Amino acid sequence: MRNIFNISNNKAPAQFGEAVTELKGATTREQVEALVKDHQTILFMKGNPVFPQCGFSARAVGMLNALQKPFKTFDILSDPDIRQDLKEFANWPTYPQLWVDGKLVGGSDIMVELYESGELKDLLK
Amino acid sequence: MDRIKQVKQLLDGAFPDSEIDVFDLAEGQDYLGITVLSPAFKGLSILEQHRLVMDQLRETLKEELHAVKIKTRVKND
Repeated sequence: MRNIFNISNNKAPAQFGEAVTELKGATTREQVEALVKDHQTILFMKGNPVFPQCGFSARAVGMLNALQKPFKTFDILSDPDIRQDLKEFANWPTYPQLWVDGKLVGGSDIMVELYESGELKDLLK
Repeated sequence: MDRIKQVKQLLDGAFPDSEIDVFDLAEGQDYLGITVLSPAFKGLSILEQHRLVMDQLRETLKEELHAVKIKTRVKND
């Protein structure tokens, strides 16, 4: 996918995100825990990195791409159970949610603050 | 119902000695900007600061939370 966009227009933003679709675990909670544990950086978002379904998710993807570090994404619109359970697991009511090393970093407002202060870049190292 | 006033009142009650600003980011008061400058944030990460504000809103604004933009800062004495 990455190459398709870059061949014709080298100004197209490079894509560092990769959507995760596979779930591990018997219960929804186990699936949620596996998602945050198995991936160093994972963004729970609406849509995927190529076609975000919400402005806040698009902004989050944009920042992560700008930092040029690989990251995973999970489309919470694709799974209502995960969408609900992660809110409770995280004690955070909205999406997107950025998780790094199994810990919630925050939503898009927090990401903007951390991006502007340079802390987001350090977090992803 | 004036949602801005309602949210301001709620936060004023929850965060004493703080500077709180609530404003409309779109017409119709369904996308609110909220800034809270409070001594209560001392020593907390941004996530924890936002969580404190979010916890107050959760009760009354369950449906509108997607459209809240929060900014927090520590207020020093």
